[in-house]
Amino acid sequence: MKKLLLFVLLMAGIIACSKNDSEPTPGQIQIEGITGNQLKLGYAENTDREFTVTGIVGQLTATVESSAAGWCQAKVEQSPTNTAEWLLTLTTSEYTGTTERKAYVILKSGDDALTLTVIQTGRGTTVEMVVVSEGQFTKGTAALSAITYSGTSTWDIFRDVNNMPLGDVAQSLTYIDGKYFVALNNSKQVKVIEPQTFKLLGTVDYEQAGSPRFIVPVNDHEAIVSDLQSQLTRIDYKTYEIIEHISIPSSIEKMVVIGNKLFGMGSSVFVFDTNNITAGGARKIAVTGGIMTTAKPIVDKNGNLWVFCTSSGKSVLNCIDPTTETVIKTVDIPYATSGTNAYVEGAITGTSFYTRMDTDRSKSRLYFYMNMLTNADRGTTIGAIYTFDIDKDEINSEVYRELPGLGMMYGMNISPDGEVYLCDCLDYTAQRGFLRHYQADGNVVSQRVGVYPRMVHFTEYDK
Amino acid sequence: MKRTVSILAGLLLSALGASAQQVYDLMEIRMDSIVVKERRPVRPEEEATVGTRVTRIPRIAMEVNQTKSLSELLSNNTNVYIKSLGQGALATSSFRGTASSHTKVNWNGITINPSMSSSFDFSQVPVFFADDVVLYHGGAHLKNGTGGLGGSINLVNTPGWNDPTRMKIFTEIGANETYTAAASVRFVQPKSLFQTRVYYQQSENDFQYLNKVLKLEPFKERRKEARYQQTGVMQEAYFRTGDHSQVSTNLWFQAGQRRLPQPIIVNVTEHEKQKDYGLKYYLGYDYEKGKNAFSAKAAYLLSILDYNKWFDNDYFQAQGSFNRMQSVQLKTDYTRLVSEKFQAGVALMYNHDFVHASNYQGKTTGRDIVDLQANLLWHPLSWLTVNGQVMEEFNDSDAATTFAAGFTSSIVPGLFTAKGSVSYNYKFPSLNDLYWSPGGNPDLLPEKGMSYDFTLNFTPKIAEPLYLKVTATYYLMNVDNWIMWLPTMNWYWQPRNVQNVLSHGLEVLTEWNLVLDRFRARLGINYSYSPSINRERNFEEDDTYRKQLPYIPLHKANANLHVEYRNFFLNYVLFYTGRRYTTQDESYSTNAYTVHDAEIGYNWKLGARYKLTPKISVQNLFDEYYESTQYYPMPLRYISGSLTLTF
Repeated sequence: MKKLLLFVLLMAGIIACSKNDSEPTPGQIQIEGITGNQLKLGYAENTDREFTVTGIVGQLTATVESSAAGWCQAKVEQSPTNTAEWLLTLTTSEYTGTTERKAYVILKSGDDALTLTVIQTGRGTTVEMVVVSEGQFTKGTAALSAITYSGTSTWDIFRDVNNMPLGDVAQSLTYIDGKYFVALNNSKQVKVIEPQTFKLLGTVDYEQAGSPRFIVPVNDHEAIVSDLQSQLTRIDYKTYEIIEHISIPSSIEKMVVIGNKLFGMGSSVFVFDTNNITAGGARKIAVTGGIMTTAKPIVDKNGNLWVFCTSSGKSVLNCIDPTTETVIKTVDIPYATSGTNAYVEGAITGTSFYTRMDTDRSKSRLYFYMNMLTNADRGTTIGAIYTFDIDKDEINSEVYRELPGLGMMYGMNISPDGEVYLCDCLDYTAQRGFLRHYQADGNVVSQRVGVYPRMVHFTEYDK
Repeated sequence: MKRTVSILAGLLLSALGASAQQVYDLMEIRMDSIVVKERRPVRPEEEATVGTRVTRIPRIAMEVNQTKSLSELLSNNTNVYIKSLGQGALATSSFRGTASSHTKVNWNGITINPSMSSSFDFSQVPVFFADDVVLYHGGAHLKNGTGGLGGSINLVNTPGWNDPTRMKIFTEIGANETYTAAASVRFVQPKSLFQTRVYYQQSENDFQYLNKVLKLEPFKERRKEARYQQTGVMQEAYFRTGDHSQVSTNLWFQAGQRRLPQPIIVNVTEHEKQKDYGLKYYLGYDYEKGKNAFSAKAAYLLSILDYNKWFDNDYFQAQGSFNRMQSVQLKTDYTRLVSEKFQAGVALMYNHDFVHASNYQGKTTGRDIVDLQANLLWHPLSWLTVNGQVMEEFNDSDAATTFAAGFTSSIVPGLFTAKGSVSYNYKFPSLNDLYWSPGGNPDLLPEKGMSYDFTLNFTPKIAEPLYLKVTATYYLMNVDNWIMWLPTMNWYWQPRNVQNVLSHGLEVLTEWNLVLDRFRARLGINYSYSPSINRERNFEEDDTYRKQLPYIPLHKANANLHVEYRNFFLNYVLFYTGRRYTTQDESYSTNAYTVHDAEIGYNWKLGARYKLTPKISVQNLFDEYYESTQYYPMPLRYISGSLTLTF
């Protein structure tokens, strides 16, 4: 009999416990959808989140520990549809730090209290930038180097992930439709890669001769690939197929699409309507100076196009109105020549054969690479980054960054925040080069990347 | 006369470390037997390099590889590393960790390196056109001028006055539509000998392999644009002009055309074809009487390279180049046995290169080279021979002095022989280095450096009829002002004196021979260890410093087994090539590989004169995917069958 009684009591206890687990009991605060009283968020999450809170007796209050109040807010209110439930709204801001951060949200109801821990991961392991390295011609040593926000890097991440080489002579990486399209000059191929994971998704294989260089999307499923030869190639970036090869009178390198026009840099600025990219559809824009095809054409915040040119004794920035297809402004960058009064330390003496131009997030400033005189007697120079604010008529006379210790500039890009990154291919021997971050305080942070690094892509622009 | 010959032979045997004639004869080390039995045109050169390690490729290996090119023969049987772009495609050498331009190639004593690049393409020489292939390891062999920093490969044609063979015909059919046919005819009179050789090979070379490096999923494909065709004719004539002299003449025409395959990381969307034509003519006179030996040689070399590139459509212009190289060489060599202990010699060489190349902006360019060389051989003790050479080379307006000295010694007669050499060698930039357009750099300095080597021969008496010979060499050399072609800021490549290189290593050869009445077996094993290190740090972050040079394997080995039982024979070859770095900082490399080849055959004797030899070969027996040059696949397993008629 005692045994029977004990059994009944035991079963009753089990039933009571199980009921306690599944149904809220007044006096015990619970947040639906959250286990272990922990909420994990990604670094980029800045949206409001709403949760149902049960087990409330009387009123519910929410307090965020003061140290996290700057980025996490909590608000509670009684549910308008069910008075037994309350609604908790958590608001967090986007996080740019590298390590995780925590906020403690204390919910109180009568004598009961619950502490919710909100954990927001840092960007640390997220890839901040991708460095494209050409590799040696015919050697298949092209590489993508992934550098995270915390500064760690994987110098040939494509090979590590896919157990195969990226290809032969990588020229450019373009973000289109949620994927990276990497043009491989001598592989005669475009590889399609998933951002962050770097898994190979597919390839666009050339069906005839060509050397793919740069890519721009021109509509909701097509992109144009420029070429060392006199052709453009239209690809379907959804199906990874070649649509057509288009013979054009002259080769085009870097391109940009503004509205329904494609602007390509070659022996001239060529303009095509995106719905008429044909040999006969090209128009030319006359610019001052010869176009430096290694410099990226920049679309500024006003929608105008800037093209870097060189002329006798100077570089020239040409501003083009894409609507009228005319140059509306030029800005000269004169070179100091030996024997003149201007030939003093700090003077601009020229630019590189591989010169580069870029902008930052604001698109109101242009950054470009020039040679700066360091010793007038010996005529020695170093590389330097100068800037131009697009609303002005002259470049900023102050050098933006001096670039000491640079072997051979082979690429330059500016981060969204205006930080200067140089691709250094050293003395051009077949060895891995460096990505050099020239910081405002004069420090230089260098990381070995692939062989012949040539461009940096910032993942902030993966949108 | 007999005394003189015996003294010369004795000196030479000592020089070669052949203190035990009996062992050598039984082991079929042909060099000694040839020296004793018949006059050979290269003999004075051998006398002048007593400290140099000399390797003669065994007769068996020459026969086994008679349908193949020199690149395969060297790769499978020597310490030389051959970097090949595929069967029938460009194949260059690395000898003792040096660059391809540092291997000197001589044909009957005439240097045949192309004057434009200096790099010899071994894929274009059929083994069938050489009777002997002799390797001089290291740079101490100066008789053929400067430049052989790694060593020299010497192709030799011999008359074979006593060889009863009058005709040899063979044909071979192999996989990938590979067809080979060759024949040689000999007409032998007491005072004259004529030999004609013809050779033809063609191959579609479109073998199948799994491409794992181009697309999302691995896929099977056939090798594209790799077909080739080779034709060669050689006409030799030898005349005994007296008891002590001989006139030799040799005309060799070789023509090849081949497509140039792309690396498999490239979608093949264009076509490249290269036609090579080579005409070599040699006239030699050899005289030997009493204490004097004299030789004179004249040669004319013509080489034409016709390159074309085209596309499937007319979007792009076809491209091409046409380069014609000609050389005239004159050589004289005089050696005198001054006394029983001294031998002295002088040699004079003149070389005139003239090149008409579209790659030199269509200009005709040339240069004159004069070499004056003196050498002394001294036999101070019965067990010791030493020699010294000095050479002055005038290369257009430049001059360079080089020297070499060596010794050989029977430490324990019949068991241990030691030899060694020290030399200072030089290599002037090639004409491409100087004049290629764009990029030719007239300011280049010559590559130069000291080299040292030491060789031990060990011939233990195991148990007759089993014989063993072990040869081990340690070498060390510096090459300063190493020339490399590098990209420039002007979009083209240019040669520069970039590195100073330290190359040192070990070469080991073991030979086992078993000789019974009806059973013979030979096992030869080669191993080389070849660190070749850049010892120049050009700037602080230079990561090429102390790194192995690209495409020089640290380890290389091969093993060759030949077995004969009655009329059956079996050949089995295994060759291993270690990992090779493909960049100068060792950041990328290509995989090591081991490949096995096997063949069986039967010597069917038809009467007293005729012999018919059917043979079946399986190359790459275990179907190994491998690349001599990264992303250029080599053929997987393929079978061939051949038939040879000899009488």
